[in-house]
Amino acid sequence: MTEVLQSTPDREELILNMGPHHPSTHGVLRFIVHTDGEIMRKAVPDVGYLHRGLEKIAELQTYPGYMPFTDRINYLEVMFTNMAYATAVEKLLGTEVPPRAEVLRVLVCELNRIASHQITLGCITMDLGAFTPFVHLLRERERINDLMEALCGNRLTFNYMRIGGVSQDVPDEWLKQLEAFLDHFEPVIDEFDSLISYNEILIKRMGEVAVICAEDAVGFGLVGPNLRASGVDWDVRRDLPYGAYPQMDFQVPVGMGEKGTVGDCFDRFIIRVEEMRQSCKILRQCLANLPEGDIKAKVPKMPRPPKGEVYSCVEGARGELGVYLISDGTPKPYRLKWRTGSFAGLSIIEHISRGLMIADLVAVIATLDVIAPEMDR
Amino acid sequence: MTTASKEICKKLADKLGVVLDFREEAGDPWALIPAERWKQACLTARDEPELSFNFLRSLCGVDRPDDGVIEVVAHLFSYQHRHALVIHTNTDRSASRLESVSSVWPAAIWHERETFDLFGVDFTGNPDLRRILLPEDWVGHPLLKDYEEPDSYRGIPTTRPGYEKKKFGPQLKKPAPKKPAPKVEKKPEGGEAPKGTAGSAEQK
Amino acid sequence: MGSFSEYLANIGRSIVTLGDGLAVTFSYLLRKPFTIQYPDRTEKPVVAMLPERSRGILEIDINVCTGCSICAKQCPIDCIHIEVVKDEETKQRVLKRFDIDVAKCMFCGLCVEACPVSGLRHTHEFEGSMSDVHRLMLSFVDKPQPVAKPAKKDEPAPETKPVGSIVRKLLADWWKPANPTSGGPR
Ligand code: SF4
Ligand code: SF4
Repeated sequence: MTEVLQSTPDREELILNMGPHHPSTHGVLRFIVHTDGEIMRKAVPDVGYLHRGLEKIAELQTYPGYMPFTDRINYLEVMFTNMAYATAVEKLLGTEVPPRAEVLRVLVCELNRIASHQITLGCITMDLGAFTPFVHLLRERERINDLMEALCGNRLTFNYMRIGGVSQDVPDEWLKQLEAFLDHFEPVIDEFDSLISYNEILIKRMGEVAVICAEDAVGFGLVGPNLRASGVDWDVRRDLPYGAYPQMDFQVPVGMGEKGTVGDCFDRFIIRVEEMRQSCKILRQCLANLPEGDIKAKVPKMPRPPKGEVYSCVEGARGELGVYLISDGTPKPYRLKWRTGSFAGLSIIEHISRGLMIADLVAVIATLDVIAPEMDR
Repeated sequence: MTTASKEICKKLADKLGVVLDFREEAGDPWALIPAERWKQACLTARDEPELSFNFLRSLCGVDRPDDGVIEVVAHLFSYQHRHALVIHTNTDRSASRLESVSSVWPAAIWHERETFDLFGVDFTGNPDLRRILLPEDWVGHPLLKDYEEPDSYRGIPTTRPGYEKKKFGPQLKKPAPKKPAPKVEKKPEGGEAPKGTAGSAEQK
Repeated sequence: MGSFSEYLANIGRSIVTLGDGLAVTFSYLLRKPFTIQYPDRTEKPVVAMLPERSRGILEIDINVCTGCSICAKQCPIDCIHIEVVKDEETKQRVLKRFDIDVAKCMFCGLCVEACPVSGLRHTHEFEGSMSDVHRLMLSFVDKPQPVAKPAKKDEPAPETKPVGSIVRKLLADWWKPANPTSGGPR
């Protein structure tokens, strides 16, 4: 796992290989770490181990046929990838999505966001040496998976959305189960806070570590919670509203430097905890105003969007998740490009790793929340 | 979005002192920047206070074998003004080269690496232009439309033994008969895929 | 002196916050466990505990299938193989082959959504391990049989076999060598 690649005694530099199967690198991801003792000179990420050519596959699939492949972009953000792709095609086709489908989409997205943040937060604590919180959050995620399975039939690769709407309406009793889950889960967030969030050891491991200033965050294209932790108040849901988000009332947490400086690892951690609370809030609003009506607009079976191109983005759990889609008027996309948060998140590591301890690298990877399949695609 | 885009585009054109080709089709409109002004246009787009595009959303390539070009597309966004701009530029398909904008937005370093990897566009001035997603010894650039999947990589077959071969073949359309067909001699022998199926007849 | 008191304060805070966390952990000693022991200590078989819509291994009831091949066209990765031929004597369309390659299938459900007669459906079966990957090519047609006629508007839909019964039989053969006649990949 970690092995010495090269050592140069004169410059006192040791080049270490970390990964690609290291317990603390998320997914199959490798770092080449140049160290001087415990201090890193730089850490160079090496990605691509999970490249599956999903952009090439898109050019060979029909528009509806590509939907299951979007599930595989990121196994934690499936609803968002579904949604980003669906909205891109709908924009090209000019399809109006029925209101019930819009609210259902927001509902499942927010549920997915909670599940994704649960894994992220669990992994952060686990990477820093605390195993119990991970199991707690995994237990809660299990309930979400059960809900999702009851809704769309699968636990991870949901394939729930369709061009023009969603595939199935909610089953009976599902909304009640969701409400019961929310009643159960909101106290669990507080419990998680007392379990680990404000644990002094965790704060010492994350506070003041790997500070990313706002300028760097924007320049390197960080998005989502990572960007907000650096103090940039930006959320696609609120600022470029799409779907049913304009009807929702929620706050966007921004990094405050609560236990150190704005933009440190702790900010990135605590923002995600807060986002889970906000997601619960949105979910309750969805439950309260779920309109009746159709769940899918009329879309031809084999849509042929007009010639043109579109960029469509949604706020995923890792920030702006964009799809750039070019149509040439045939039933297959001409080109499709994914813009994912993890790709940008990882590109900043070489820049900020200078001067960090090796053990801090783990905190940086974990709090930047990079997911290997998402950046390799 | 359209009118706003048009105005932004006009501002950019004024600052650059060129007339930009502004296209509107279905979806988002975009502007075509001449390749030699690419970096300058990006710098202007970032630094001009009225534009201040500080966020490079994505930078990617698009292969257009029919026109003999590889397009490079950048999606820009400004957090201050909340406006977006899509700019394209054309590079020659046979010797694809473009000035790097990695000094304008550091995010471009990785995006350009990806474009280099998948399309073979050579970004001059990028400090770290290596393959990123594919292994260093990979041959070819898979997102090109005439790319053919090799049978094996380092002795590992790319198809599961026992299954019929369903490889990614070239996706070229036949050159349109009216046009003087600029690139016929460059097309590999597999290019005779029937028109209209985008060459992926093997897929379905 | 200041740094020393800071040092002590740090230790103090660590102990207090650690205590908070451990209090939560201990409270779970007194709660009902959330985990269940798979596979044999559950009250019901796991397959029976899955929700209604669960997307498991596909099965096809060939008695209702009309041989329209819509499902095969919908599948993004071509894992459904259908062969329908016309019988010279009876002038009927005969279903000769209906294979689903479960090794390739990604359980996306697009084919099931498209089937007009609900002959193709997801079962709840998921434990489909095989000793030979080629056995995962499930063949649903043993001997060629005429395709079903689509039910008229006023007719009741034809009866289908209970969900899961067909595929369970096929999966029970997991230890056999690959079927040489299935026509699938060899
Ligand atoms: S579930 Fe999806 S992958 Fe499997 S056979 Fe049906 S369409 Fe194909
Ligand atoms: S399973 Fe359904 S869709 Fe497939 S051939 Fe039979 S009737 Fe047609």
